[in-house]
Amino acid sequence: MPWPELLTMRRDEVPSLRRALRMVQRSLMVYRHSWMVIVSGFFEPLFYLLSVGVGLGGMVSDVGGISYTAFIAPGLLASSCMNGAVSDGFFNIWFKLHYQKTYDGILATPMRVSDVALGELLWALMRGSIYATTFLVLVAVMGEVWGPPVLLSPTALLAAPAAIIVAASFSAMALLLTTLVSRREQFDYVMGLLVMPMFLFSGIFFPVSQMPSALWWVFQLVPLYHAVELLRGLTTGHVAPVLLWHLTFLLLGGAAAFVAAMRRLDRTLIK
Amino acid sequence: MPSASGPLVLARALRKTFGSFTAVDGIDFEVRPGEAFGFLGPNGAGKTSTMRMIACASPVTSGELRVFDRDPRTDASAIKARLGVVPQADNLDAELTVRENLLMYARYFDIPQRVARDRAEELLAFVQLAERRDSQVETLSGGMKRRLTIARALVNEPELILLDEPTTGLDPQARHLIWERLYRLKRQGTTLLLTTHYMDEAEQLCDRLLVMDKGRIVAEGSPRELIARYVTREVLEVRMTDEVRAANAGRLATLGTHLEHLPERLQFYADDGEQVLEQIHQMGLPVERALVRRATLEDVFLRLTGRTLID
Ligand SMILES: Nc1ncnc2c1ncn2[C@@H]1O[C@H](COP(=O)(O)OP(=O)(O)OP(=O)(O)O)[C@@H](O)[C@H]1O
Ligand SMILES: [Mg+2]
Repeated sequence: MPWPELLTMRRDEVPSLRRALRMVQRSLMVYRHSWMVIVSGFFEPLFYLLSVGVGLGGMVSDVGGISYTAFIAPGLLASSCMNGAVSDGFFNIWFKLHYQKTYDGILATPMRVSDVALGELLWALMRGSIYATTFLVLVAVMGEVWGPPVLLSPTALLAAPAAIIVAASFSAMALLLTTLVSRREQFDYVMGLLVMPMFLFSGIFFPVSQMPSALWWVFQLVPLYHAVELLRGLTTGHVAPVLLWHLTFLLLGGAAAFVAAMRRLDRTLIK
Repeated sequence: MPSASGPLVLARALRKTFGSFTAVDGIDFEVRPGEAFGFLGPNGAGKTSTMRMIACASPVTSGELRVFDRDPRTDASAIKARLGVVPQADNLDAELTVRENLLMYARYFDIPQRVARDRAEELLAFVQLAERRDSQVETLSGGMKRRLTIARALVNEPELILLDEPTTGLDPQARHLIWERLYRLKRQGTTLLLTTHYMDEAEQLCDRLLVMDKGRIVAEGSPRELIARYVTREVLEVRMTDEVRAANAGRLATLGTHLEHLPERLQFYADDGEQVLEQIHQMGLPVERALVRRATLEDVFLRLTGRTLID
């Protein structure tokens, strides 16, 4: 499919918020049975923070004048937004799409592909925002009680809405990826060659300035890098105009991914 | 202004292609309010492809298709709001329970929650699944899933129900239950559009039938009309050894009005089957087994498509 076609939305494809919220209602109904899945999502970034930040942090000196825990906390927040989007958007939606044929059933009602796509995105976003907010509150409390402080500036308050944007953007990208995967084995490629390297090399654990400067251009294309830099800027108070560039990348990338995902879903479901 | 009695579905030169393959090759038909309309045809005839276009689940390649006098290309949501769909393969929501499947489906149709709860109970009773209301869908048997799919298709009180092989794979009891339920809906004025491989189902439920083969329509009419038009009153089924069949092919072909060679038997169409059997005996041919019976839709199907129904 040519990209220009992928990126234009016809008037009748504009999703309806009312119908999209039906999908959210469906997810709430589903997770009534398996709420532990939701709860377990809280722990992932916390465990990372405890093991890497507190454990390893005791052996590592400050990074650029801030404690190691404070350095990696925003990065872990960004990566948990990514992992949430990948597990929910990628695995769950793929199975509903190809195995359970859930969407075929839903599309026999007045619901449209765009409503379903927006609905799944809204759900991922809601989940992501709950995680992000809880994480920020917990690390703030941890910093106060045990020290060293993790949130270093009042601008950390902005990290919550920023994390929601990060979650939305990653959810849209994960949705697009999902529509591109046709066989199960391809998950392994995506996880091994895309998600894992992003996790390791996006500046969560060490500043990207440690990497050869020739790679700068490459980083500008990595979504997680932008997410990490944006959140770290806000939690540490290093607010600079470059944060706007990170924000713009996430917003535009997410929007483009969403429209493309919608078009591809339409091709898969309505044939 | 469409009149109240205008066709619910109207197809003119309707075509569906997948790449270079033509699944539906220019068909014309109308489904009128209140009737039970059946699609027959061997595997791959294009029945499901046609149903999916009507259900707005598959874009029309060319030709005209109107459902409730609306265009599926531009009015899909409005059409789907008035349709009930039972697809060939069940696509229930595997992450929800039986009852939740109905409740949630009602919500997609914007049915208020209170109404949805009442309707879910009614429908569970209607398809005899009330005891399983809190079961996960995966734990249901095939027949129960089918019944739930039918119940789900009724949640919006549709004017037209599309049923793609509603009873394939069900035991006789479950089939009769479904027939009885569909018959009740029909009496209440719901229009039924179904596909089937079972002739008894077609004869029981359908006022009008359309026989498809290789994407085209090969015959149309009521079950009775089709039998009168395409086959004789009786059919004589004869089993003989391959050698006898081969050696006497020419002579046998002169008997009755038509002869069909099936792998395991010969089938003579004649108004008087006994008379043909008598002629075979007179030729002195050894017959292993012979049976005279009334012609059925199955024979019509065989004449028209050269195949039995379940290919
Ligand atoms: N998505 C698709 N892509 C390619 N070919 C398809 C697709 N769907 C159906 N076909 C082809 O179109 C033809 C008609 O299929 P269809 O499902 O309409 O047949 P049918 O009459 O419902 O058969 P059955 O009795 O087996 O259900 C078949 O040859 C099938 O392989
Ligand atoms: Mg079919």
